[in-house]
Amino acid sequence: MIRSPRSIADYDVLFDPIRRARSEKSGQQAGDPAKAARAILKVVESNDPPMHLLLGSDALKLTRDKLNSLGKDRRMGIGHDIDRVRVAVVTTSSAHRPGFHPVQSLQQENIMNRPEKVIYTAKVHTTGGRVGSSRSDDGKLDVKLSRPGTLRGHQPGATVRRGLVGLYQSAMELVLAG
Amino acid sequence: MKLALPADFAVDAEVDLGPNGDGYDVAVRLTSACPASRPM
Repeated sequence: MIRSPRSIADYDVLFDPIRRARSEKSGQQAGDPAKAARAILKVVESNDPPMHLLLGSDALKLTRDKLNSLGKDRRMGIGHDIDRVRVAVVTTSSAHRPGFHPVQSLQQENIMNRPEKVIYTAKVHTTGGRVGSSRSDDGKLDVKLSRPGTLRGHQPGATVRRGLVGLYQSAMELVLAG
Repeated sequence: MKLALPADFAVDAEVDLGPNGDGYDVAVRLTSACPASRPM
């Protein structure tokens, strides 16, 4: 490396270490300029050039270090997407009574995603719609339902809100626990 | 045609929770039983 002898004294404190390091590395770099030139020409002539061109082991190391750094920070990135929910709906018509029109049998299954391994399954049986009742298979949830604004029973929306808040708090505990 | 739901209309819900990659998935199965219905 050939440097100009000219320098500005006010910057010497800052740049002298940089100049010294560059001088020490001059001619000692791992990269081969001729190989780099051939790689660049190959990219230029390519019909499908890469978006990024990494030349030399030092460039690869810098990139790998950055990717590893991003990987370590991934815990802060996850958990903000909308929940991937698998919904399978099966509606059947099982009994016909005189004077009644049976609902057309309909079977529909929409699978968006599913856990790789199921660690817990909650089961709830609900009848009567918004003025009916709902009971879980373990009996821990057993409520009469009501429409909003009435005092007779439990409002389904309140249960959903309680459940979501509980899930959110658990997620926050996991994130904060590192 | 509008239909009224019968009194014995029922829904069974099963919610699976489990890991999937870096996160968790919730899988919901809703089985609706509508034995019969009549026009409104």
